[in-house]
Amino acid sequence: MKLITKTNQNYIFTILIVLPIACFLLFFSLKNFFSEEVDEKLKVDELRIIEKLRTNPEIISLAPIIEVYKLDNPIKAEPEIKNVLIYDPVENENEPYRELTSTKQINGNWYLIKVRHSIIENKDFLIAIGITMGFIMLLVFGFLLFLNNKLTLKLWQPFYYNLDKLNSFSLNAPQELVLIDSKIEEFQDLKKALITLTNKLQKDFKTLREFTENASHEIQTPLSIISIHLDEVLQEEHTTKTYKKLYTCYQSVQRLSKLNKKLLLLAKLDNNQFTAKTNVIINTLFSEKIDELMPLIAEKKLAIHTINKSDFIFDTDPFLANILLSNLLSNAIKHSIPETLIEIKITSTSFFITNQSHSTLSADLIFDRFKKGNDSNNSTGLGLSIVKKIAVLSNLTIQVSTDGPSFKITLTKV
Amino acid sequence: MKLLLIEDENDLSTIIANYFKKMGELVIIAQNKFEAEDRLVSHQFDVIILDITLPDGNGIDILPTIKKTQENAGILILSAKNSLDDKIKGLDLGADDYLTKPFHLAELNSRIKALVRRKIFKGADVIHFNEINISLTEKQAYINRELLVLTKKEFMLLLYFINNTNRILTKESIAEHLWGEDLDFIENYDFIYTHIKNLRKKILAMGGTDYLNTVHGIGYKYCNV
Repeated sequence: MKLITKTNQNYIFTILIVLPIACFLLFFSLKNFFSEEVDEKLKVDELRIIEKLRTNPEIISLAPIIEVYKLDNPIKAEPEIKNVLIYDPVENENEPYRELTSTKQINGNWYLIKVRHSIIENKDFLIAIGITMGFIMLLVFGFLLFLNNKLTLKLWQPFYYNLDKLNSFSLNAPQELVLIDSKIEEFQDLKKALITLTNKLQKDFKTLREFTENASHEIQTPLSIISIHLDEVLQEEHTTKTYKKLYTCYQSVQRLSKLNKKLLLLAKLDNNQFTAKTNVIINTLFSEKIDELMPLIAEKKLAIHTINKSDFIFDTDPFLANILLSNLLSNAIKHSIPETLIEIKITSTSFFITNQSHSTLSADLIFDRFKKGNDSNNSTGLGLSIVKKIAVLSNLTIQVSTDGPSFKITLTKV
Repeated sequence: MKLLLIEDENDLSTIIANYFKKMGELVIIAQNKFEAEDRLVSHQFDVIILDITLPDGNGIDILPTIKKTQENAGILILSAKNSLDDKIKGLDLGADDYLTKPFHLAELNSRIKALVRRKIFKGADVIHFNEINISLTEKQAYINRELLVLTKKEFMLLLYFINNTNRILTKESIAEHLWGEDLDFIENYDFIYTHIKNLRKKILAMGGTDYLNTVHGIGYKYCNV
């Protein structure tokens, strides 16, 4: 939920709680105030009537507001104020009145005086208050909402801008993260913290990449020495047993050096060291690679079937395109069951390669470094990580699907 | 042939030097940039093997000095970095070839031989091995002056064997020579066998001698017997 929605929601909740309380408060205070006022008015009216009766003993009556009765038996009674309901024939309903009843001796005669004042019904009163309050609140709320939204958007503008920047920020990027300043202290603090954090991350990431690359480089020379010495030793006469051991060492060194070269390539890919861009036509490159790998294909008695629907052309480093296809093809050959079919289909927007394999490696692990299928103990487990890395750098999406023994890698233009 | 080896790793330079000395070449080692420049001023070389990472600077910086002092020398850059930039820069500055570490001695030997033939024996580009003649410009092989029809890979294979006679060539080194180092097919090199079988058959069919010996489980050796 957006902050502004949440704030607005809080406003609404507050108003929903405050509004009824305010209405009741207002209702009781007004009612109290009015009834005091009415009581006073009733007393004043009574005094006026008494005045009138003194000068003019004729009985005045104006039901239901004023009723005066001449009493035959004098009864001294305390003045009493109460609420009464009186039927109003005009409106055809009972209307509430405040009534002051008192007996008074005027010029020797006893009178019963009833003075009434119409009061508003509680219900009507409450409704009136509710409507008025509601309307006022609505007005206030609307105004606040408008102001708040306008103001918030302006206040939060640096925040959203920086968030966008942060979203598009890449650890790999050579330049530092640039964020804009804000007058709000909290945002400014956040900005400082983010800049410190990203700078540190970038630095660490760079160190890590450089370490990988340097380590790989440093390993090359000792590997060369071991490999060349072993090669020399292999030239000499040995017992079969020694020969076997030496050759195993030699093979392991070869494997190690291949592994190291691949790690170096991955480090370079991570470091974005391949910047050359050329239009590469996958179709011709595929057929070149197939020719090159023919002995491997023939060795396993595999059939290879290429469907060229149209040319797939994309912009990438030609060196990387080469590695991409070499890896895809040798991976397919390596994991294929002998005497099966490798299928390649190329359209203008995508291409796929399918092979039949026993591999049990699940599709989501396939691109992880050093993850290998069960059928190839000697592979480095880096081939498909390299494929994925190159695909990403070349703006291609890569997809793996399995259907029984059939294993398919699809590359699509973004 | 006089060879200057500019390499700071003692182990590596010794073994490379011994390898070429065994073949009767004259090898001089320079361990750093300073030594290398000193040697370059006072001697003329046929081949210079140059390591890029030297203790006192980048090997590429020596290239202009080499170009100035050595007129006909072939230059091969040896590098631990398989960097395209270094490669392009090196070749631009006059290097003739580029080999990345780790490498096979047989591969280095083949490259040096190719370099020497290109640079020094200009025109005379036919390699003789008993009844086999190989023309490098035509990229053709002849047996007793008759054309031996080979595929591109078979031709490369034959040349590799003749360049490295009397030496065991492992399947790994052969595969790498024929298909480059970028391929991820370490698990099985037996497919080379097919190529070798075909090459043997073709040579025998033309009345040539089979000089190729299989070294049990490891590789092959081309012997001049």
